[in-house]
Amino acid sequence: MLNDVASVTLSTALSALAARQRVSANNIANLETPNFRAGQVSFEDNLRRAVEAGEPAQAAVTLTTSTAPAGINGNNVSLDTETLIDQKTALQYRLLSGAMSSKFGLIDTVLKG
Amino acid sequence: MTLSAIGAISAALPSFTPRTSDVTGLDGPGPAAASTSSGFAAMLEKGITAVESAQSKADGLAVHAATGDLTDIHDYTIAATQAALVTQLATTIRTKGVDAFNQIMGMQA
Amino acid sequence: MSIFSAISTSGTGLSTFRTWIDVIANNMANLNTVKPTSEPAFQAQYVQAQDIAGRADGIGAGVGITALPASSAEGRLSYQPNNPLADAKGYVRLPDIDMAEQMGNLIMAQRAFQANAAVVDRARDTYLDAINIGKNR
Repeated sequence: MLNDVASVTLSTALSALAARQRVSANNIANLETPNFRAGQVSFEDNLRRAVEAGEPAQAAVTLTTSTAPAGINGNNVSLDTETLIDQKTALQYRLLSGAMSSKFGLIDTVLKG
Repeated sequence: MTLSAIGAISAALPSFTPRTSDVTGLDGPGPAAASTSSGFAAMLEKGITAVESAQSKADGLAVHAATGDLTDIHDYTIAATQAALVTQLATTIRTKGVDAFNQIMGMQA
Repeated sequence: MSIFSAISTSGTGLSTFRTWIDVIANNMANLNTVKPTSEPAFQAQYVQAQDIAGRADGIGAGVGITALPASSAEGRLSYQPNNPLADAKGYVRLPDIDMAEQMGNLIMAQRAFQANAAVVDRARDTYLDAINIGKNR
């Protein structure tokens, strides 16, 4: 049940967003750590291609290191960028989990009449 | 503002209502009952098509939201709400139809 | 143009104005940086920004820093014979930084940062409202 393209895409994206939240939290925690380089999670392009290929579960979530210029202590975490990533990720997580709930809701409606 | 998918179902409703009155008004010649069942079946089919199209529209937008390509969030949330409402409407009509059938069966027994 | 584009657009503003504040901080820190007359003075930096095009519907995608132009290397000469960096005539080179101008820029940069942060907040509330459509049935 619920193994259609939309449901699998949603659950894949939710996992990726959770990973992005963890990485963002780690970046903010290391705001002042010397020589720390910010991590970045990307999955959107992979997921888009995977959906087009009809295999959304196969979409890879990649973790890369930010190439942004570093400060005096060799750290390149930008607090404003991280805060925005955090906010956007939280919003998208909320949107997608709501989408998942509404798909469950449809089944619930049909079952209970 | 129009809910097009709901409109598709409700468009079928007026043609249904006069026929039920036909049934209650008549002492049951066969052809009238037959046309009623085909009318209800057609309406249900039309309703299911509307449900399917509303759900697939919402699914498509949900995939766009997942891949980060959804520009207008409300496009998805409105489509999802429409899909939920159309599904509820179709389920209600199905339940009522089955109830009516059961009632008619009970009358024969 | 992708999801939550208003937040991304304001984000470019936040980064730009934060960089501007960083640049002003550096200029202010070097307000009294003395150089011998044989060397160029500390050069105050300015921020050159440009709008980012790139959305299909014609709405701009924010702002980006294109260059950090430096002010004149000539600076101003100051007579400080006791300064170890002074030349034979007793002159040293000081940067030509107008503190009032820098302070004015600092206030502008700070207010602009706050304005962009406010846009992020409002945009977030708006997106939340859009997400909650149909939830309170």
